[in-house]
Amino acid sequence: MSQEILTSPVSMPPFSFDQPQTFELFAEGRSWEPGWLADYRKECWEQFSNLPKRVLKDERWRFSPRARFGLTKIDGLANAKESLLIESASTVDGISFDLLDRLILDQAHSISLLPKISGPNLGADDYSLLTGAFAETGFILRAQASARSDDPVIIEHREPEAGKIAFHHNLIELEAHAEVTLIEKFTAHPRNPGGHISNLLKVRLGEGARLNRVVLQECSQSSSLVQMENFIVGKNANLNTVSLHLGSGQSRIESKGVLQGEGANFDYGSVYLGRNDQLFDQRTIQVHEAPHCTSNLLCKNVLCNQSKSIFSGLIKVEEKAQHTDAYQTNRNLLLGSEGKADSLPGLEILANEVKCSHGATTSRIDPQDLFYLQSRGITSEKSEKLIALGFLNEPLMGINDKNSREWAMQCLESSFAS
Amino acid sequence: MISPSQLDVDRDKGDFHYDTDYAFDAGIGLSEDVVRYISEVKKEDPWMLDFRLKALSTFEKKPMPTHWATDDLKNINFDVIRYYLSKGQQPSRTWDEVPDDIKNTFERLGIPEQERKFLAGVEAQFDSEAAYSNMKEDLAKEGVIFVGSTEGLKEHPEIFRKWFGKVIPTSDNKFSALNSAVFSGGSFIYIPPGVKLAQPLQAYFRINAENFGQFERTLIIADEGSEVMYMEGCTAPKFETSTLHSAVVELVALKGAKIQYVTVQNWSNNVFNLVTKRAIAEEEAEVRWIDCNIGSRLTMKYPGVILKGRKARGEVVSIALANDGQHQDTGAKMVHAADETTSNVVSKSISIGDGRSSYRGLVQMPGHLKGCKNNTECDALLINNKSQTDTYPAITVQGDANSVQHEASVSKVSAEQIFYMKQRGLGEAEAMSLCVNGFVNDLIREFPMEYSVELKRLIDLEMEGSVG
Repeated sequence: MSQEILTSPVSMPPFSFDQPQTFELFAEGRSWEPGWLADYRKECWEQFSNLPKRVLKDERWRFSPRARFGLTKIDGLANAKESLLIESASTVDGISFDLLDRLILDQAHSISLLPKISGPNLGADDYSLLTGAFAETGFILRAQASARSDDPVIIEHREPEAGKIAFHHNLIELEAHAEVTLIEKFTAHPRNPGGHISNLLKVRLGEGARLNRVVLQECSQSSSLVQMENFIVGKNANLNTVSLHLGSGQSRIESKGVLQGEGANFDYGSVYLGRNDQLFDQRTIQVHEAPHCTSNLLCKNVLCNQSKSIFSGLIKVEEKAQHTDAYQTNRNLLLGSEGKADSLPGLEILANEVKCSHGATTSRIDPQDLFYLQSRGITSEKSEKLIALGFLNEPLMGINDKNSREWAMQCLESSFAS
Repeated sequence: MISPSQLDVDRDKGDFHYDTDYAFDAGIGLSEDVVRYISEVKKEDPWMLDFRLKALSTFEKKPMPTHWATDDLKNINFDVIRYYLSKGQQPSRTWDEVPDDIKNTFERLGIPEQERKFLAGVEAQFDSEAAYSNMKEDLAKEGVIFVGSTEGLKEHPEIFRKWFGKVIPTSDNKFSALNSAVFSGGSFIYIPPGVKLAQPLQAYFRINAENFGQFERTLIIADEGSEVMYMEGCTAPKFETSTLHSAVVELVALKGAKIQYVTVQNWSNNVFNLVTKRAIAEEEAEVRWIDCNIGSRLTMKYPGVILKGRKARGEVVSIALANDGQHQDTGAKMVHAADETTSNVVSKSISIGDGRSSYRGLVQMPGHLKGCKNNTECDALLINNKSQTDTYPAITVQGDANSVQHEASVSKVSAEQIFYMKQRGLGEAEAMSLCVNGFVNDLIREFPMEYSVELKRLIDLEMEGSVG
């Protein structure tokens, strides 16, 4: 026994976020970064280290099998150069679309907003802080006043190899009246799937700006995704974001929309198609801070096999946000007897001149609908697919950009074919 | 958090106080001795003392549920509350036996004339013990038991013990544990198989001592095929410091039975009203909770039904009115545990001034069940721009054979409606009252006639001075 210890080769301790060396080693390797960024990383790391280790009952994780997002499954950092790639950049003057690691040295001012905007803070504090501390890459999309692009910019988040985690810290900043369309793709690792992605997105829209965003997530079924989005929408600005989640073994999606300026509009759609034992844990909040704003959220989930979805949403209307129009809808379609849907739609209304409502439904396919299709010669399996496809199409119809809309619909359709 | 700034809300009933000579008083604060004392005074069997002591230690171990509930709970000081006091009298059978000073209090509430005329049996709870209990002879002949919980425990232990604490276990929550430790008063009702009561049973509850919390315990068992409606109404005099009311109500509806439980809660604005109410519905049974919350500083009440037998049905109809300094945190729980069970929740709330009303719901349908349905509707009306309303439902559905729908909306009284009525000569307050009454009208009709008249009056009162 003792001999075994003596003869074993000297090795590094296993990778763990519990150990201070993990951050120290990382920081040493990045000593060339500007001081403010190093300070920010250190601050995030310290806050992470001071998080209470075990909170027994956290409402923000209600119904969630939190262990599935445990950090202990991670055994190293992914290669940042490989995990995020620009597929299509912008050629328009005044719109820049680049990667964080390329900007740190030469154009540090362009990322100075990153530490100033918080994450959505809807529960995944650990991932949010770790992303602040360890993110080596991320996309930075900035548009000057009135800059406008008709062609979408496209970014690809690649799932790292099994066990590794990729931290992406992203920023979108559109100045007044700028308009951009962004497509974000999440793709599976081709050979050795099972990686982790922690993606933190911060968005600020200036007066009258408009952002159209489409997300297509096709990570592998053994991967983990933690997606944190904070959208700050300024006066008369318009944000339209639709996400299509087809992959990943477990995904935690936290989205916050803050309607900060008068007349702002926030449209949020999400589609989730769950198979096998996939878990989709979604938390959203619509915060109305200014009067005369509108927000509309539509989340539709289809659950096959033993897949599980959690939807927790909140509309918060602050006292001064009179004349608010806010809606929140969650619809779940259960295919098969083992799927499970949890729904926590919430409202907190402090202004009285408002129109607010939410709705949540969970059900199976109406047998009459199935019968109708079958009586016209369509097999029951195919009928089910058709109905589910029609059901999920609704949030995609909300995509502003026509080409992206058609593309997203095709992606959804082909995922049903498999 | 809401501070109870205005305790002097105009209220024309319950605003009086008679000195009462408390023959039995357990003193102030909570300890093992207090629990032993209560059990001794009630001459309870040892198993009941054990039950109470276990509950006390559960209460002490459980944390305050402030991780989801309001921080206002932290303002409850358990050390300044009286946990038991009683006139020491046995529940009376005839009106003549009721002591004079208690009669006076009830006289002011206008209870005797009304109830004796309309209602089958009256059990009025004065402080901890039932002060007055009167059942019509024909009810007794049919085998209906309608007594206080202490009497029920003594005289009908075979039924009482079988169901006591079975619907709501001691450890369900901190306040059910507190109630289990110190409970006194409340009703015990048993309806034999097939007996359908044409008229409702009614009990009035009163708090009449400063810093005195009422911990009543009600157990209603409706045997196979029987039907009963139970009405519970509350008024309380004003006090200087906060009081605590923490009841536990358990209902058991056996095969094919129907229970309707009607509550009108109008405690004064300094009362913490933290109540656990739950029912079990067996095969084809039906339980309806009809609930109206107007008073109290903080009410937390989520009546629930466990739908245990096939085709059982549960329903919660709830009206909440939160005025200045009030938080009405109400809701419903529907746990589906058998095939083809159905549940329905309709909740309407009105927030006035800086009042806050919340709806918290829970619906559960596990995957092995078929044909379960739930419908939930929550509507909120906000009167002033300081008013607040929240909705926090939690819905869990598994499997492809069940369906759930939930809907909530928030609105305010439209300026056009008010304008229209003012144009026709109504004052603004009157117009507002009419609108609010219209908003809850379809639910108020669910209440028995005497209650719906009283409710409309109470809403008018609450609306006074809220406009302009």
